[in-house]
Amino acid sequence: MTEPRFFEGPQKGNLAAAYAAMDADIDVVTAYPITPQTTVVEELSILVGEKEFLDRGQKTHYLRMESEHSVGASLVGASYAGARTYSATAGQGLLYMSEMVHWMVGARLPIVVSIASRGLTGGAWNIWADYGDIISQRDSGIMIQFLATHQEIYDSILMGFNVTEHRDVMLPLFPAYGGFVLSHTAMPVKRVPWEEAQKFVIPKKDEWDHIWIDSERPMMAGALIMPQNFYAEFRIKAHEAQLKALPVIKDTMAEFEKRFGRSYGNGLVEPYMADDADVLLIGYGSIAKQAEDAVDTLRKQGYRAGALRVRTYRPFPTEDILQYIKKTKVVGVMDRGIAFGSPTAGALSTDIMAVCQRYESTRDTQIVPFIGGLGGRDITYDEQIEQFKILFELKEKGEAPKKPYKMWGTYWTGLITGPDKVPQGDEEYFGDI
Amino acid sequence: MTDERIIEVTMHGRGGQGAITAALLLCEIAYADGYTDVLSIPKIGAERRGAPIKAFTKLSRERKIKNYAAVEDADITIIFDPSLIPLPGVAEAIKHGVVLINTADEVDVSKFPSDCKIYTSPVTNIALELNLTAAGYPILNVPLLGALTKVKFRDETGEHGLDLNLETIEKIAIKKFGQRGHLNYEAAVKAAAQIKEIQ
Repeated sequence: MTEPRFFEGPQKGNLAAAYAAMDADIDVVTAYPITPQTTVVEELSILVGEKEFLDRGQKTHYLRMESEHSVGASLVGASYAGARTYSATAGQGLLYMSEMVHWMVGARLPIVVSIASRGLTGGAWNIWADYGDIISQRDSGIMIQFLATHQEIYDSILMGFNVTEHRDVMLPLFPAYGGFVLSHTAMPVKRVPWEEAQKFVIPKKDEWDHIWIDSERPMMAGALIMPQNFYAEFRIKAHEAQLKALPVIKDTMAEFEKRFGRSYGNGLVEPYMADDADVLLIGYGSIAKQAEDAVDTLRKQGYRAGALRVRTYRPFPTEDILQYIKKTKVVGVMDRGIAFGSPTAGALSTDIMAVCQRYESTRDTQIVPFIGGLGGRDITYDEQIEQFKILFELKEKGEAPKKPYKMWGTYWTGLITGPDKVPQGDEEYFGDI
Repeated sequence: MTDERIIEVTMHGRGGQGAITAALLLCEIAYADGYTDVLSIPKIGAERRGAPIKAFTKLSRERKIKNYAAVEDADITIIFDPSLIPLPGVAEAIKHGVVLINTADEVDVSKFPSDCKIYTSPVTNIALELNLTAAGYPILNVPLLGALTKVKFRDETGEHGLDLNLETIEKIAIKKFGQRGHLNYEAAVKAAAQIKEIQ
């Protein structure tokens, strides 16, 4: 057997994604480039012809499409036929694919599409980390995960099909990670040996139970459903499948940990010193991982800080989040993406405020919304320490401190208003390039 | 043993000089040399050959790296092109640590903090002499990393620092670039031998 060209070592997030898709034995990858996702499908165009996989009899069809909408449509078509399908996109590409994203859910297709999240555009281009793209698909019915490390990108895509193709689920999964923050940076990544990956990944089926392409057994798809027929029931079924995915994600994570010794919380949320925390900072993506450094520092200074990373955002892990909120009375929620005109301007903070109403014990919890890191602006360690200090001040004095960057009840971390954020020299022109 | 501090490196180059690749190669070399967690960060914008660019590397022997933000106060600064020194955010942004500059000429050290150690190595000349070029441009990244093996950096405690081996550079260069790796390594050895401590 041919030795793999890459098995372990520093690897870019996008390439980790490409290897994971191959190790999950995908049948079809359809591709269209968009920054910062491009190197995923570029690398896959190499890997589908890589000796390592060909020697093992793995056959992956690679389709170059003319747009992301066509990528979505071809994923749907291939998945109708029972193929294990994968692609990747980002930002505007995801928006252009959006119609087909909804189709994937409506037709209950177990597709995995990874997203190298980037700022959305209108007026000016932005290609850097910002989860506005994937959040815009929040209500489409896809499952959404936020990944925080390079290894987690690999592991999550490998685990992905065990969730999507599970009989109780049959919904697409869109794992998202920060564009450039993870896609183009490199950190140590270890693949699962190919043979072991095949034993872990859910066995393939010739066709799905509910849909197939077979001239002997013709089936009509995409018909008109009248209001008096089952449209509403189908929609409710997709919602039910989302909720049924919660235990499937947990079980998949547990099985992965048992076999390979790595885990990301219970697959839904990843707590860090959250059990005895006086204040808790909830977030997602790499910024939530980075908050753990701030927790370490504050703990050394005698403050009981804790962090909670939401890994699975849809389905929403209500009970798993509330379990930690119940233990504290002051909770900060950090969004990296803006939900214009919503109660807090952050999608996650709005959700968390909503679920806190569910139980008597969490109804008086103070939720403090933070937003930052938009369009790829770094959120620094010092800024995260400041976020925690705001939470501690609220806990001690009963009142959230006034800050120039607190507007409409939300703290907008890292704005160009403070003394340290004033552009120097011609930095404004060069930006952070 | 005190808590390990993560070693942070900033590379200043011009588009096309290989600073982004250097940041990644430094990760691979350090990982092979026993650093368990490494991170390379390219600061990517609109790609422009010749424009100032930055790349960063963070290295750690034991501690998990969780911070993906750009390096602000680098322990080690590598400058690929001396014409970058007076630009905003280059020499003026250096607060401590050591600096390695690719140049065969005199450097005006007054631009740098007086307690910084400053090294130079004539890497462009070495690459051109060896015909280590791509599309006519000298390849600077592997030779500069060769020079970096002679740069001594320790943190405040003196317990942690940067220790890279030329042998590892040879191994990684051959793995990455095949036959060309040998030439890269030869340039790295010369760059290490011709390093000068100027402050």
